[in-house]
Amino acid sequence: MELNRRDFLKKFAAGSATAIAAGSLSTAAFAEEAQVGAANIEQLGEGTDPIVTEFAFPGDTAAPDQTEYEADVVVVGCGWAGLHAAVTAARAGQNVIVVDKGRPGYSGMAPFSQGCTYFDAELGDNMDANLKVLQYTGEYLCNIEGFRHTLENSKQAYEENFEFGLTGGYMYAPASGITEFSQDKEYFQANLANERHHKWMQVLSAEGVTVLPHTMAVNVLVADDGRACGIVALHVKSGTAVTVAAKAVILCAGSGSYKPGGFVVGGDTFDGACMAYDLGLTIVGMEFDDFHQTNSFAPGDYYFSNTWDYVEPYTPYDTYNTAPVSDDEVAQYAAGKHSFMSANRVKQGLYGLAANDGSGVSNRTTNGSANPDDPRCAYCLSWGDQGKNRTADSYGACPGMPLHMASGVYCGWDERNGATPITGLYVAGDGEFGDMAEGVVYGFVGSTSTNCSVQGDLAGAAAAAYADSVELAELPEDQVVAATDAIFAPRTITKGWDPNYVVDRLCAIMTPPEVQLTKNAVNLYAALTQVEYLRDKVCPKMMGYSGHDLRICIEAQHKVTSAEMKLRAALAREESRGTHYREEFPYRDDANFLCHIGLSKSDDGHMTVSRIEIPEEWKGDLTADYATRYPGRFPGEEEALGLTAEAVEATGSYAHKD
Amino acid sequence: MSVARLDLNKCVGCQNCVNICPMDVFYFDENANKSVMAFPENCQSCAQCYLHCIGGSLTMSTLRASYAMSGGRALRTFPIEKSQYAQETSGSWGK
Repeated sequence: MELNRRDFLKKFAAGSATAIAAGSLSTAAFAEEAQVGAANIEQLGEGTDPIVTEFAFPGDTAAPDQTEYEADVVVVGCGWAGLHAAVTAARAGQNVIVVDKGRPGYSGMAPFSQGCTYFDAELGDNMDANLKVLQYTGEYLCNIEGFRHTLENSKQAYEENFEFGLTGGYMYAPASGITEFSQDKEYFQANLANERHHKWMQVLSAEGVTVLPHTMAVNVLVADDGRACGIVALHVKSGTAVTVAAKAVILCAGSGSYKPGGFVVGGDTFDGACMAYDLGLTIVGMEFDDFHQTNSFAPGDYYFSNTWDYVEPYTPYDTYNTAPVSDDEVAQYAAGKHSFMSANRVKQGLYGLAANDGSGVSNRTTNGSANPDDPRCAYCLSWGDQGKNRTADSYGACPGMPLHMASGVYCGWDERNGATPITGLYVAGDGEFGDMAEGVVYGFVGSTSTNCSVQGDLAGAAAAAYADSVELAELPEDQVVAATDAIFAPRTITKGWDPNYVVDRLCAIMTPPEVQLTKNAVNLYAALTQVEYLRDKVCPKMMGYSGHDLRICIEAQHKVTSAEMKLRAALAREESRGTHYREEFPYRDDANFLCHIGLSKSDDGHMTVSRIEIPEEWKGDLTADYATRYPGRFPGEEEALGLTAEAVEATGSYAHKD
Repeated sequence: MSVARLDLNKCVGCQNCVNICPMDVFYFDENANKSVMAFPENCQSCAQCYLHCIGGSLTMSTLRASYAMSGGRALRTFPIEKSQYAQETSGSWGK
């Protein structure tokens, strides 16, 4: 029997038959939950959850007219890095296609950036002092020269963002005359000129970039001569395979995270890193990856809020959404609420740590400038008044991000353009280019959006230059078929696991504090065992039928792969450093772990862990004593290491005091 | 934490939510000229649909649509012979 979409709708839209359609499960859940505690649903009243009367899922849309594309450069994902990569390549005369599994400007982390900074000697910034601070905060695993390079290019990237119209901030709420939280839509409208979400597509369009929204890249294809030659993607809305043959591929698909229980899990699912991993490339920095819990006033902010009991990402929550809150007040609240030491230590490391050499340089270049005319920290959607007071929300929860400018594809510590070992394949941005620019703690608040932009600029330019030198290769037919088959495999089984189950279960495995924050081998192995079970027994049996289902299946697979990476890296690093804390190895171990941990796929398909050495100049003064090298301390560390009060005082400890 | 429907009557069919949503929550019913909140369990509560909803049809709920954390609920079966996909992959079902 053949049914067209209209018949399908009619058939399933009526009455209880809707229970069959995907999505109606949740509708039922709404109605069920809404009735709890209320004799009559009408009693719920205004402002509570509504009665939902949805039409049934109408099925996939019609397939797009075009499913095969050719380009000079294809950019996968379009946050800060993708935008800059695409624009730079386009301005270099390349024919550029951007694929984004959502919509540029709305996908990923970029819409949630809270602020930015850039390096400017004319404003009094001292490069050497900044790098020294970074060396401390990054705990000697940060790529000093890599970060110098990004800082040097950061002002240009900022100016480009200014040119794109992306640097405006929301006006101070009292100045706008809109101060009631219930006037959220009015406030949004009043700030529309500075709203950056919708400008992404405008910029891309103005530069002549072709954008394929709702198109999820799934595989990077490599030609017989070993160079990247294009991608296979899934057009999510229609459930259609799309191919893009290209001379160069730039992965800017961003990062991923695991969020604590109860939190929504968004679309940042390590897609780029997983595609690179499948090609045999090495991923670094996963043990330092962290979750970023979010809240309404600071959707991308982990450090202030990750110890809060439960902070809703959007919903108005008492005083924190009605009154301007200063940084200090927020910090005090967070400190009072903290439950897990490493989180608090990170916070102190971030906001308290300054160079302890008397230079007085703070890592808070964004807000720390003494120059009242300092234009930086301009584009905070959620902060106004130069970032001093929160004025209103930017609405929304970030989809999750890792430690900034850290994990991703290892390209060699000297690589600056994101060129991977695969010719023609480039990486840029958070979670993608694993140059460990910031080391093991997010060191420079406000630097990420600029640095992602820098990496996008550099990768875009390098890819454009490369594309000029080669001819378009034909996509290998066998790889296209294999990739397409894999995309549609969930349709070929009639009983299986809902991919949402995998995502939910993974969240439960990966986000408990004993796995996420205070790690030990027993708990890490316990988590790994479960992840391996999902990998081997559940993922192959994930089923789905709509294009949406297929996307969730791919995302779930990526999350499982990245979870395994994170656990294996965390097991390998038998020390504590930065955001990585091991109960059995509670201190830094300079003798054994001034290195990075790499993860790659062996020929037989298993994940292998390797040690990646770092340059000597990253390691700082190895003759200095421990107290001097590590002014940020883990709890109990001073006592356990027998640090004298004088030593603690002299090195300006920011140790946990509880 | 999820998007929720405040009043479907207020949906003017602009498709802003369909186009914007990074999580592919929304689809569009052309016959009814209404958006369809098809996959609210994947909502990441960025609220951009709500802010861009011209008619005021959407709201943000404190409830989150989700699946139960149990194998029984997670195992799902489809009446696939009735689905639009049967025709595309005829013969390949039930392997």
